[in-house]
Amino acid sequence: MGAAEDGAVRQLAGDTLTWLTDPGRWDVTSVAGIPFRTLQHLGVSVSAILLACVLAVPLALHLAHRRRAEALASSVVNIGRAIPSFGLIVLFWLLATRTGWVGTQFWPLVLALTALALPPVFTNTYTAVREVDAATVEAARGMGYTEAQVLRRIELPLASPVILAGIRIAFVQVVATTAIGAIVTNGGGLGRYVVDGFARGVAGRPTVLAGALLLATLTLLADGAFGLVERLLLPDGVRDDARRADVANRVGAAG
Amino acid sequence: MTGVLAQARPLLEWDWVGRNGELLWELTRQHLYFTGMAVGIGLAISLALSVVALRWRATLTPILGFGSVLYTIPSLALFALLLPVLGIGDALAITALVTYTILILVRNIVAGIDGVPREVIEAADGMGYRPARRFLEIELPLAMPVVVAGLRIASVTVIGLVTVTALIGRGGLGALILRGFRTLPPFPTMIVVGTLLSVVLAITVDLLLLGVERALTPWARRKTAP
Amino acid sequence: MRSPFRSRPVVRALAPIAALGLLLAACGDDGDPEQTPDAQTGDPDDGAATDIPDGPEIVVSSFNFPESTILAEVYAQAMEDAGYPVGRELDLGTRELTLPGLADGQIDFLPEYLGSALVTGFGEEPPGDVDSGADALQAAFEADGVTVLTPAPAVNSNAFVTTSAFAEENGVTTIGDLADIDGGITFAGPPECEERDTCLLGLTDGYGLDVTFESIQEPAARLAALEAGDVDLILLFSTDAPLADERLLQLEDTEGIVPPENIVPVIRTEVVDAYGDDLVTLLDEVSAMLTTEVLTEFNLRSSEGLAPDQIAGDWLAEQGLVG
Repeated sequence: MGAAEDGAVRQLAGDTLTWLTDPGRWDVTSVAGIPFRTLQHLGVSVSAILLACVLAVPLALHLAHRRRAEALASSVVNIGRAIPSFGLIVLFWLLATRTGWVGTQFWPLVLALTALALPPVFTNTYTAVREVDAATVEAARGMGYTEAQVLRRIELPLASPVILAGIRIAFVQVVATTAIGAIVTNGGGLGRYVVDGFARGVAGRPTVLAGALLLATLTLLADGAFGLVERLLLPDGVRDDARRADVANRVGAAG
Repeated sequence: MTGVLAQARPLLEWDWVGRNGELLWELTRQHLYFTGMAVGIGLAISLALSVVALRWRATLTPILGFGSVLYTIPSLALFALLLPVLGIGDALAITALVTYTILILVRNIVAGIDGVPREVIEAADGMGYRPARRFLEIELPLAMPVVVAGLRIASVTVIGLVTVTALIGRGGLGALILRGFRTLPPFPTMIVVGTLLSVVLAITVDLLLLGVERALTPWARRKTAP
Repeated sequence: MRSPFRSRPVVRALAPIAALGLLLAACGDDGDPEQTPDAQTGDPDDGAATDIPDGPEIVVSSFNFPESTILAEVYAQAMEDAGYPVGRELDLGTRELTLPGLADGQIDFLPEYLGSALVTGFGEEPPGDVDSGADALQAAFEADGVTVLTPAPAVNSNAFVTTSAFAEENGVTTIGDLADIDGGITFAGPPECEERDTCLLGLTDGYGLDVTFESIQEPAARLAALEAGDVDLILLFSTDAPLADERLLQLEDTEGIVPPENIVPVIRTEVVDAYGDDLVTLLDEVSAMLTTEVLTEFNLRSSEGLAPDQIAGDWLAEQGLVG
């Protein structure tokens, strides 16, 4: 029994490796290939995170600068965590089939993921601005900065490490959750391999396993790549803050 | 849109909800069962890992790094990776869910224990407590508020993720969402109610644990009371 | 003297864990979501039927679509009502998951579809008629220790569906007509369709069509893609409720890639041996009353939000098969 299982696991590992190293899988022109699916995956994820940033960052900056909506900022992240991603994706698909505004494939998934990314982006941006040293802000005002200048030249640069840390958490979560879209539409990027392989039973297990490995790799790479972006974007002085902020905020929400 | 799908039913049919109270309760219970199992087992594992991390400080960073990698892996991928080992069943769903609790819980347990004042430890040592007993009877109780705060985040996260286990024939309220989506034409009430109940469940569990957290920190309550 | 100081923190430390334990205890064992309490009656120990011999629990399973789950419930409840011990592993998945489960004894009973079981399950030729199909399926299942019962009159087969507008525009009424469309067609089916002779391979090999395949797991999402114009053709089931809508058209299968798909219950032979002919007679009696109209009705009621066990129970009661 043990030996038989051992053999089966080795067989599966071999089949998975064969699957992954098949040159046809890496054909850039194939819509079922790994390059296309990876790009599709990133296309959905990046659209969602950009949309979330455009919606949440200016609003959070404004509210935090004015010291408004404090209770909202602290509770929104908890409420966001409570929303089941699978339910939200199906719900957005359902609404899309009724309104016909945004098609039924790409946008419903992107909008659902945007909604999931909003809370961590909003709360981290808000908190980041609020944590900027009050004395520094007062000093700027004393030097005759307008409110807009205070926000743009003082608060935003000083808050940027924590803001980026928040976006990073949200982005990793979005990349992970994009895969769930494969249950609902023909989007879902690399998630497709898992769902399709699953439907094929034992014969599909190498596909499932390979898809899972690709997904996990993409998510970890997305996290690492964002770390590089942070290093490039942030001035030297605040980079240490970024590292600290990153450790403190590691936990956003799982996908 | 004038399609066959668009002419479907209203988004929320209250009479369906009224007629299916028993089903909703059953699914909610199943949802709680998976959450409870995952967080319970996750807590036990995290306690053990925390003891190791506290005893040998050098292991803390690798343990948190390991938890962080587990936390980052997409749930769909994790089900798939565990499938050949565990087969389809409750064990697969619960094991995958457990992995999302480790990072949150270890971080909070360690932070909680680290927050125990030095003089309390010294007093306990002075009274002849051995390390194991000191941990169980002094440090852990004092760290409880922070640990429970971690339990809140872990529970809420897991409640959301249980719905994804619908893909492997489990899912609690996620099974309802999937059924509403899978039937043709779809039955919107199942999708809406499944999602909303999952949110309500998460908020309820969060508030209950917040109550536990408050009960464990009477000093904080005294301080904030006007 | 030490006790007041020591005991309270311990109690506090353990309280949340104890509370969690209580929560788990309250939740008890995992309840199957498809099972409401009234579906669980028919416990063999309730004394309702004393002439049932002792035997193993009959684990009833189904594919992951509502009709299959309802059919499984129909047979399960009929057996429970007669006093047999029944377990459930419903919504198990595609045939690629259920047949291995049946072969290794993880499940005991499955309402199968005759043609697909033969062609997809065993790679056999599509059967010419129901009787020869049942014989061929029995031969194929023999090695797994599975008995094929008498097929029901009810048929539910793969349906290749397009919009009436698309059909009119391109002058299409049969699957073969699609060959005339320049640039080929896009076709959405569930993932397993891609490698099946009764599905995508039937279109490409049987009809020689130029097909771009989109894998979309759920029928509602396929229909949405069709209506949005993302794809030209989708796979549905012939008993799906929306097929009655005049805006959709099921294309005729002139090449016969879709085999006769009568419902046929299959059961592990050891279960038949344990319980004898009475069980077979009971199941055959249920099968005989299942017609295609009944399946369509099941699917319609499912889309009205009724639970599979309830749909099954209502029908059995109407037919006087339980009670």
